[in-house]
Amino acid sequence: MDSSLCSDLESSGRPSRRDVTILCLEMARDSADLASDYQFWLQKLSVWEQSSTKETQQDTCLHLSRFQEFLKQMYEFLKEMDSNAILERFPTIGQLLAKACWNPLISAYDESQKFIIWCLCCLMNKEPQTPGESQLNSWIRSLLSHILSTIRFNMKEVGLFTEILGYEPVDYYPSLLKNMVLSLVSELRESHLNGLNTQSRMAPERMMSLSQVCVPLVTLPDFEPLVEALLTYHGREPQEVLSPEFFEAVNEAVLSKKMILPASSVVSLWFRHLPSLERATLHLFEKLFSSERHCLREMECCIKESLLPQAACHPAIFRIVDEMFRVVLLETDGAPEVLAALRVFTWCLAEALGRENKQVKFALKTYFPYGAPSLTAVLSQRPDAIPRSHRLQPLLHVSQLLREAVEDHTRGSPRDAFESWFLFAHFGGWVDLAVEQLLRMEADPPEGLLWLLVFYYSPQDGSQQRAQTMVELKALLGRLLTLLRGERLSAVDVQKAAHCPSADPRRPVCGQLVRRLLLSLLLWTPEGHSIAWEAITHMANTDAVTHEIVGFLDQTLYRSDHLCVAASRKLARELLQKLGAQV
Amino acid sequence: MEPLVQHLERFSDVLAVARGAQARSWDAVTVRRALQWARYLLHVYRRFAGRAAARAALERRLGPWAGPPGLRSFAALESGDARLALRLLSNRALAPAAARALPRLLFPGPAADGEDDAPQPRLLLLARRGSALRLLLRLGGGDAPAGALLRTHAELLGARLRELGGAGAAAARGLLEALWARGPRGHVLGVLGEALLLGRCSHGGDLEPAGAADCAGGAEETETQGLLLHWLLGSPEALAAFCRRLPADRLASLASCHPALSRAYLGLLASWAAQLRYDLREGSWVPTQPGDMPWEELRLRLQRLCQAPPPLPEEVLETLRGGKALDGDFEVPGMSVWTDLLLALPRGA
Repeated sequence: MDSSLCSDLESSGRPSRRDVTILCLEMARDSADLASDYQFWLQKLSVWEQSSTKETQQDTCLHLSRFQEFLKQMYEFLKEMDSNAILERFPTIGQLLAKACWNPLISAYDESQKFIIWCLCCLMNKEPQTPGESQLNSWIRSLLSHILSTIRFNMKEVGLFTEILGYEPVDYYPSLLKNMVLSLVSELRESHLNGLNTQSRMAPERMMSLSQVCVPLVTLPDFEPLVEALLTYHGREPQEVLSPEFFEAVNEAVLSKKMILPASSVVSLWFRHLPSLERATLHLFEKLFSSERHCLREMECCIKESLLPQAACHPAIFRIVDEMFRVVLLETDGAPEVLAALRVFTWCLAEALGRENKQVKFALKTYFPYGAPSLTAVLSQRPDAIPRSHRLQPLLHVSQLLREAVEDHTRGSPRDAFESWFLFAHFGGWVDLAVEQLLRMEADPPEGLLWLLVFYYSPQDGSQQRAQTMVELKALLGRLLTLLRGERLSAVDVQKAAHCPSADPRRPVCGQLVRRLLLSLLLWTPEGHSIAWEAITHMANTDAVTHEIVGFLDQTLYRSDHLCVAASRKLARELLQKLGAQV
Repeated sequence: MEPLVQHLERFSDVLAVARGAQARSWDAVTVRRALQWARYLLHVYRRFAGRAAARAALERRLGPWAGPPGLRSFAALESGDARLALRLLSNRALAPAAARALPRLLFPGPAADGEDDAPQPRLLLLARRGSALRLLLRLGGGDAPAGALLRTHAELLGARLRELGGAGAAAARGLLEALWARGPRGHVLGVLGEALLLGRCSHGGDLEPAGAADCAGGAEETETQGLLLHWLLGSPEALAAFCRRLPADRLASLASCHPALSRAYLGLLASWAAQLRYDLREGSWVPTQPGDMPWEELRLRLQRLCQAPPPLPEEVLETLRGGKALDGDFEVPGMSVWTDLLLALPRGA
């Protein structure tokens, strides 16, 4: 079949020989893959059919999603063929579909029953010529009838009762299922309430099989109360009594929004199954750090929606999520979007803690075990809640505490420097405050503020390099403030002032810090407003820098409580629009 | 309303035919049209389901529903398509051309995935729920399956009685008589017991699967329970079987919810107690006839009643004390069944 297709395409002369070869190879490979998958699954189904042990059930649960993927591919393949061609290609397909039909774990899973039924429909012979073909058609019909009405109570009287009332199974399936679920929920609840009474407690094995049965069904809305009860009413056994596949299935369903659980149940899930918590955090990271850029507002929505800040109110969960932030920061060399996300996450956590009113429940030390308690306590205050005229003092205090932790080698190691910086990075609001203070200074800027900014932007530097950078930063500030006091501010002058002629060309003041100062100056001073756009277009000479500026403006708009001038907000929004159009 | 009523009647006929030999004359077009009809009536159902007055008017206008082969109620319109589909799929008489077209009409593929009024998603949900039930039943253990079945049937019975409500109490009684005459008695009694407890929050030792939300809708249930009690108390044979065959715990719960039933139950227990005679050789109370209730069973039932919330325990004790006084108030065991029963109860005489 493949070779004839190749020659057909070649003779039409349109696609190049190479394209055709690739296409043929791909098709052949797909088809060969499907054929080998087919054999694999046929064998699996036969094994599953032969026994219903715990192990078989577990193996089935492990394979459910892959098997569904296979069924989907199978349908895509079959839908283009007629019945005879299908049977020629897969003579045993009837067997495969029937085994799938008869296995309730499979037919209960997600959309598997749909693909099984669609495949059966493809197999239907539209114009049967032989008795065999007609027989196949009626066999398919009976299989469809079976999968649609699988419940047959063994008790004859049950059928008789509903018949007298005039009901058919279709009338009571949904309510029977609802009542089964409710009965199991009360069994679990009773078992939980009578925890000490071993007689009325649900045996761990029963909990395990119940959770296993729920694996294919977690996304069926009827099962929500049962899933919730399983997550809430945990036994008193020292070991986990629910199957890991159950936790994974619930977690995936929640992450893909195929199921909505109350937040408390989700938190309970993450507590009991750490891989699910890690998966949920990674899922959030994937959303936040995908190629598409997100503004902070969107980040906040994503973060809140993930329920992770709420869960992280518990220090054990917080530390795992935080550890993952740390790894990503190290791996990306402190990428701005990761820093921004960490900052937003910390805000959301503080908000959640405030809502739960549980600040006192756990000491800050349990959230940040590596930071000095006094430093953590100062940092965790909301900086923008401090009156404007009183902000310098706490800033200097933060700076001093950080400096002690970082530069006092009798106390710490280089690891401590990173830990201190990581702790500081959670509370980036202090950096905004420091920049604001520096630009308002009439007199010489205090060394503590310079140190704080230089440390934040180049944490990897040694103390000597930092001292040098501070000198340059001070000079730069001097030049900028002189310009501001001058008669007319121009974009070119500002740009020139940013380049320090005397400084060591090998170690220029960190570019990011300089840009940050310039942008703040442009936004926060009335003189800056008129030249802002011109200066920014000078600055934004690479994509990376443009993104950085967009990030700064976004951040300004996101939390601009300390930016009281409405004109600055308006300007930031305009600039963001203009720049956004360029990116 | 007239055309709508006609449509409903015609669809009822279609449903009846779909499971009979007459489907031999159907072709693909007939099947398609029947399915379209079911879809249209699903819309009708959705439009009227929440509007009690309009729905009641429609139900009144339709009068008594056709027999089991057709539509049995307005509510059945919600699953008219599934009913039709299942009947056609399992009808061997369906003409071959119609049978070949049927699967594709029911399951057209991805195109019909999002249509919530098409048979495809609704049948797929049915299939998934069926598999879910199979899994839960296979799980076995516990009382969940039996309890859930009783509860479901009790709800179905309640729904049917309410539907018959318009036709008067006689129709409801007729249905209960039919169930009692033709139905599986043990199951019918179990369902009656469950139906009498639906929506009641406090029933003794029984598990209560319903939440507070279920109790809120109690008005309808109280009405149904009134009908059930009326029939049960007026049917001596059924009442005796009910009080004899249902478990002691359940009867105690029922008695504490329904005072009339409690009186009847206590009366029956007393009459059964009076049947026992003392066997000197055995040193125990024994039945005189094969159908009598054994001493142990009697004691257990009275004991459970004594554990129910007040005023039941006091009523039980009063009945027993009354019997004892009539027998001469002896305190010696073996003289009066009442004395011995009082002694056998945990709280004593």
